Amino acid sequence: MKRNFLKLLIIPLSALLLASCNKASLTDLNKNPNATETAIPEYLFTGAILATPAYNYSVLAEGMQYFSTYKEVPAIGDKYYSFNGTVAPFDSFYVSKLNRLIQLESLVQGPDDVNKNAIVQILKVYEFHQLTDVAGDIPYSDALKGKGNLTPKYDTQKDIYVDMLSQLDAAATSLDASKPSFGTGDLFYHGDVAKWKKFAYTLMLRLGMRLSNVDADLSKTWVQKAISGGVMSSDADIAKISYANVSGAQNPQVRAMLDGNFISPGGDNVEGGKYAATFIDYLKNTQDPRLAVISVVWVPTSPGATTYTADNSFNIQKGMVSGSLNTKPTDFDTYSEPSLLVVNVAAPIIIMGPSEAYLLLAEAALRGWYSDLTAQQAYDKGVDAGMTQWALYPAVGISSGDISQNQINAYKLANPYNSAGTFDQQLEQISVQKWLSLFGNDYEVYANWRRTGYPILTPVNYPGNVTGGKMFRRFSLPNSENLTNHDNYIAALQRQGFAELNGDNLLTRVWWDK
Amino acid sequence: MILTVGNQNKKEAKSLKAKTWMIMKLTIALLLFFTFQVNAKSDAQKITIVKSNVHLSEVFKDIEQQTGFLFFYDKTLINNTDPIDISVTDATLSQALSACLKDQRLTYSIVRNTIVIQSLKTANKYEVSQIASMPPPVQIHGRVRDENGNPLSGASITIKGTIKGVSTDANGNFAIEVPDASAVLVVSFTGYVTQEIPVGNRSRIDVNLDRIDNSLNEVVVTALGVKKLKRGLVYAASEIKGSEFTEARENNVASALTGKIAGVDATQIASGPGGSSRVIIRGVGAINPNANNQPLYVVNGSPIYNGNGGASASSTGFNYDVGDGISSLNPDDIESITVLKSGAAAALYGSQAANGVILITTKSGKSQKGIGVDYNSNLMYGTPATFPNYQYEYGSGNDGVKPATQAAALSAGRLSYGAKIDGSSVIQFDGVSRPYSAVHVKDNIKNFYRPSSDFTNTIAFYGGSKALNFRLSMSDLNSKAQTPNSTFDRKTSNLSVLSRLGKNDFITIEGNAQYNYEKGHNRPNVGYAELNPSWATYLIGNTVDIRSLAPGYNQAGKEIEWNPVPAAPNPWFVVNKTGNDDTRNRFIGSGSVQVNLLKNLFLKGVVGKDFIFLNRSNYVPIGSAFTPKGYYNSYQSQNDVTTLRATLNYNTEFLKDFDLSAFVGANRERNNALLGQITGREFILPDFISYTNLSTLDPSNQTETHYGTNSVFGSADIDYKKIFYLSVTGRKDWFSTLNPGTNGIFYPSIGGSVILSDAFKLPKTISFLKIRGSWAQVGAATVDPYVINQTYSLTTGGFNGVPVLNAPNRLPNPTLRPLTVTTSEGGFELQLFQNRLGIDATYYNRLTTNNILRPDISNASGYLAGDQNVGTLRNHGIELLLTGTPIANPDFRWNVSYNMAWNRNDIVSLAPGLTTLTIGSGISGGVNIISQVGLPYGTVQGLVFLKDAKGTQVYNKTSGYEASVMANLGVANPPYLMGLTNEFHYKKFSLNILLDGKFGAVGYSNLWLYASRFGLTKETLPGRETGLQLTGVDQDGNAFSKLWPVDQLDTYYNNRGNNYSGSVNVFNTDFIKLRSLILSYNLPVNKLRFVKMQSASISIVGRNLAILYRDKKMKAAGLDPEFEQTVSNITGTTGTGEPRTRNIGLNLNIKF
Repeated sequence: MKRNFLKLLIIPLSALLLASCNKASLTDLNKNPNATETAIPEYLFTGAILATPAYNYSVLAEGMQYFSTYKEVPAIGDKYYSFNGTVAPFDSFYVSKLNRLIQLESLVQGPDDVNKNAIVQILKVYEFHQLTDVAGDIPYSDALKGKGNLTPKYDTQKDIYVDMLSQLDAAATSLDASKPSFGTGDLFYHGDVAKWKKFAYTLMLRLGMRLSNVDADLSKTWVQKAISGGVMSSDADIAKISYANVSGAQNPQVRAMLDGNFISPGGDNVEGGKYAATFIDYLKNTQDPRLAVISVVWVPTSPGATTYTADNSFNIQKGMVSGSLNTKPTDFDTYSEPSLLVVNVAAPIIIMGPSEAYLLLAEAALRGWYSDLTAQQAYDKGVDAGMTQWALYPAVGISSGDISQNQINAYKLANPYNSAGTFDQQLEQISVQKWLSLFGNDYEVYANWRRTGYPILTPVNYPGNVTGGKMFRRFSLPNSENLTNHDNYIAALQRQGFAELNGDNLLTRVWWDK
Repeated sequence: MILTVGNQNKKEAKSLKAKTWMIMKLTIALLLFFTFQVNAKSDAQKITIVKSNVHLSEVFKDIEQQTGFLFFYDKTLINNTDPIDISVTDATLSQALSACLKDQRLTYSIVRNTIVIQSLKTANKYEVSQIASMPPPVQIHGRVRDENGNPLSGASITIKGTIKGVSTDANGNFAIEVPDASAVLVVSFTGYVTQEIPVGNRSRIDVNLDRIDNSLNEVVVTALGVKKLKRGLVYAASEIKGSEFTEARENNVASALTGKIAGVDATQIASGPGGSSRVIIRGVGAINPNANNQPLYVVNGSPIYNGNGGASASSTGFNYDVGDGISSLNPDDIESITVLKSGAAAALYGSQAANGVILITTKSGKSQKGIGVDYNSNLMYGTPATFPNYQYEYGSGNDGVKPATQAAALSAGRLSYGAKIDGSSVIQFDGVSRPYSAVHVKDNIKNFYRPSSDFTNTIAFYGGSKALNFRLSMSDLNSKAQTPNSTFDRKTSNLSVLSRLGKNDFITIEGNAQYNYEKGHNRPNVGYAELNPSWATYLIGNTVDIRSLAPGYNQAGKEIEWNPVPAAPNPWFVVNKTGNDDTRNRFIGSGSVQVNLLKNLFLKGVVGKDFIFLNRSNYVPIGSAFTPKGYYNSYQSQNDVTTLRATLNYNTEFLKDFDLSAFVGANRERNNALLGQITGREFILPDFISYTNLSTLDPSNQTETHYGTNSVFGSADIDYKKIFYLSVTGRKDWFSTLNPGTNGIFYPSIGGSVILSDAFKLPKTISFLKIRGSWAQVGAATVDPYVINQTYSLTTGGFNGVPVLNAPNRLPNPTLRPLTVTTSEGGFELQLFQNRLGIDATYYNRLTTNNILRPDISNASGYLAGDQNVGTLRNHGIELLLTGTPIANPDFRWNVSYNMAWNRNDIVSLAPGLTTLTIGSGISGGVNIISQVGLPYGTVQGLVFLKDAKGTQVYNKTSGYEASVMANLGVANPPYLMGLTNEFHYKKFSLNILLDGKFGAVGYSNLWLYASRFGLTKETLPGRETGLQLTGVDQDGNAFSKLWPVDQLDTYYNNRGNNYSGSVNVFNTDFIKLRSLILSYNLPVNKLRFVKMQSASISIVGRNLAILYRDKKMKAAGLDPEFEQTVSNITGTTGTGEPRTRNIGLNLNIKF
């Protein structure tokens, strides 16, 4: 009996001892069942391109007075009420967006990968310029090296701009329609290399013009180079991501708007947000056909009812004044808010389009740097493109993005380009049109506002605000940099004229903002 | 305890009667279980026996059963008596005894509860001889107790040189007649030193018996369940009896460790019943902010899963505590808890033991006759213990005026910057006008919350023979949280079986199985405002009654808002409309087979399994102000740990005076986790809570994780003459989470001790003196599975059909190695004055090197840091335990135990170039909890007012606000811990008082941040009438002054509360609390004869009864200094949550 028991016991015990020494079975445990070790560039590229609009500058949408809120907490851009929300999004840009691109970059180094590599370079510039525009000096030449450099130095915005422009030039030049691209993984253009070329030059135009105040010669050089390279000119050139009301394919910016304010039509909004008076008043004063596309007032179905119907009729539209309210206005229901066409999770996001290109051309013409079109011709085409792009948005309910040529012509007739005006008047008209056409692209409008001073915003001096009643001119560098990249961070702050992070530093200006 | 009572003439009593009796007993026990009633029947004896042709012993047994009296006699006296016929009905004891002894040559005498049967002849002879030659007999009374003053029932008292004797009753009392003053009493009890006591002239003799060779034979359970003699241990070991957790109980056993053991920081987490615990032994041991610094829990030899479902320090959405691994244990099932603090003690448990080990042994059956039944019922009520001190001079409102409209009242819902409170009628958030009178937050708290109740009932059955022992317990915990509609239930059943088979116990089989069913409903949110009902309750304007917000929703089901921030919800809406549910099914089991190959050689195999299925869901319905269309989340998680272990143990004596005990073994541990979730938003139909009713479902997600560790280990213990002890262990682990080549680590330990009091002749005052020292290493791989290698994940479903691959942005590190914890410690144990005073002191030094952590790296590198072997952390400290027995009278005994620990924690180094690592931040930012080189782990860092060299406030001239500077404010984990237990025994009463204290730490209160912002604190009173005049200097050193007008005070104070947390919202968290108080009374069970209880006690218990000391600022604020709401490493921060409670209750324990 004893012997049987021994067998019973010793056999499994020996097996256990053997298993304990079996290294392969142990190591096999560490294979992630839900991840692959294979990287496919096309699929990675789709991930990267989806990340491009992932950061939402909602604080700037209030700052540029598209939106306003009567509440305090969500009102940083509306009332300059606290410093929260004005930290430069290093994590989002370096670690999420740019990281995808550099990992992809290392996979597209072959001779047949020139287009893929060039597109990656173009998108890198697209991400970098957004970050430096809000943060000033940032790590650039040393950045994105992983273990290779854990404390990257900060480059001056000037150096960054110079390099970004030449990177764009090199990438655009290297694009070769006979070589492969990312195909269907390319959500912008489905692998159409010619369109990427236009994208690159349009971005070059944007960046070149950004330097108009700080270095006119440099600005002119790059603006002209961009124009001669060929910029976007038709709706077909628009770089956009088309979303769908399908799990995993919803418009993230709309999602944020819905969750922030506009999920239930009518009644109170979660964060008290409405369209700002500055925006709606302007659209109304100019009889802008876009008003009916993007704006509605939710009207109770009967007096006192809690169900509402959308009304996009012209006269009923009304914006809520920016930055002054601290109590829910009794007429809150009667203010305009985004139409269901705008807050549709299947609505596209336009990354860059011909409207901006034409308005930049108009400014170039105004500055005498360009003459194929007059400023007025370019402006008019910018207006056209800014109107027709709404047709890309699926119609929802009473709101349709189909603005007819007649409507556009009527608008232009009522609001003609002021060719006879002063330089400033013309620049204002172009910039205000940019404000209208680039609705949703808060970040670019903010950059343009800083450069040109237009549109002129309604002054806000909310009691106890932190900036003395002035809109921020920049974002602060994240404190994480102070901890992880201290010496370079301090050097960058000092170089830009401030020693420690502080509120009034948000009123200092980045290099090109002169 | 023993159901068959006859303690003489042990014929096997398998009669129907006995069975009936047993069934009766069980029925009674169950009745008690369900009705919580004690039927205290009077002791008037009515004896009914109608029998014929029965032996006397059987009649005696009947009498014993019916009266509770015991018979005492010499067996030979009645062995040869003839059977008798007896018929008595409702007779008294003397009638019954007379009836049965009438034809016998026997007589009886009754001494207390003992019936002494004597031969008539002997009795007469005594009398005769007494009369003839002796003084009259002396009646001696007395009481026998154990070393702790507890009565010893059944102790034997005999007169030396005679056969005459008695035994003590259930209370230890005896009475005996002795012939004269020269008689000597012999007092004996199994396991105790027999005493001989000359009677002398006394008539009362109280005796305290000492346990036999107490210090020599005390055994503690050590690593891998090996029982060792305590005296020889080379490290300090602390064992706590399970009974310490059952009276003034915490639902989570681990939380109840607070104050009990030197160096063990057990935190009371205020997160509702069924919440998690946080136990840190000898300081935080790993720098990695995500590392689990809690000890390994081992139940009956097998590690259990202790992942926690605690709330996070800073979170939005649902943030509640679903409990941790240890919260499943029922305190009533615990036999003992041994805490292995030192490296040497824990080294055999390998990697997970780097933070110490808590060994839990559950109760098991005992060899005995019949079935024992143990019933415990515990009821605890909790009411809020502290209330913030607010200002009640200026009421709800803004700009120094009372709200004039409903909209204004709503807008100022969270502000108390209104006019002077004057009792006038003022419109409120709901349009109703009410008096503008102070509504104290205390009343709002009391009116919103209800007293919490925790009702635990446990019944256990146990018994066994030499070959098979068992214990089965069933327990039900029924909790009502303070938060309305919030409940928690835990049902536990536990079965333990032990069988010894074969000749000389050739095979021993042991099995333990626990099954749990836990159900949480609407657990309260903690932390941030969102979905947190306490937020409004604590922070609503100070002239608004929280009850006016009820029921929280209107007829359409929409939330009734009281303030302009929808994230700050109506608390009644939260408790009435939103919800969460969780159920946890858990099985913890282990089985072992031990084969005793030789007398001193055995082989043992153990299989252990912990399996948990947790299903949780939460939802916000349509109508919420913050998420008007609602959302729903559900998660299903499955975790299991399987342990296989084999050991070969050998022990021998050699060279006459040496003992060797050694074993080698192998261990294999596998962990599996599976998490699936269904989340989505926007309900379609109102009032139907199901994922099928959502218009948007998130992509499905299921995470599978597997990891394991293989190990071999060995241990040897040698002693010489039981005076010199040497212990060595070695273990090698291989971790699946690391790559071959770098995934193995060997670590040894060595320790020694000398019993100086045995080795040398020491002064008589020293009863025991031992010195001990040890050195040990433990390796650990605190790294998540799969992270060391680069992999790519696909987005489920792609982007509308287009495949999407996501690149990992964490730097991989394929050559990551395990970290090492090296502990050295030394100490001594000293017992003085016959063990009346004891001192146990330890110094330890614990160095964690090659930490596995993800040092923050600049985001501009493009990556998040992967795990790296960097950083050194040192903990060193002193632990002291003083035990004493100031008074040890037979009737009154006072034991004191004081423990104190000091731990210093230092970040010696982080990663190259990195001096600071952020562990986390407080809610709403507030403060950062950081690790900085040269400072302790978990330093609280926050912005404070900037003063110039002269101490003048510096202002920012643009904004008009105070300038600020980042400062290190102190450490979040208390370096000083203490506990003081006083135990008093007086006759049948005992009183146990535990004080505990923690010192030297600071903490951040997010509640105070909001109270400061909203004008509730007294600090916001300046300037209410005429505005606030600030003077100081600006950043350039020029004079600065600014008047903040009354209508801007809200903004000024809002900013002040928000942006200078280090100055405004950080507190010193020192405290001493009256942690528990237990007043027990041992019921005189012999008077409750009909149920034949072995013992019964009832206790009045209290927990967290009073804060005896707290810092001045804390006291002025009216906050509870225990800030912890989460179990994460972000200690030292609190938000709002259920009030901490003062708990009072009753405990009833009955043993049959």
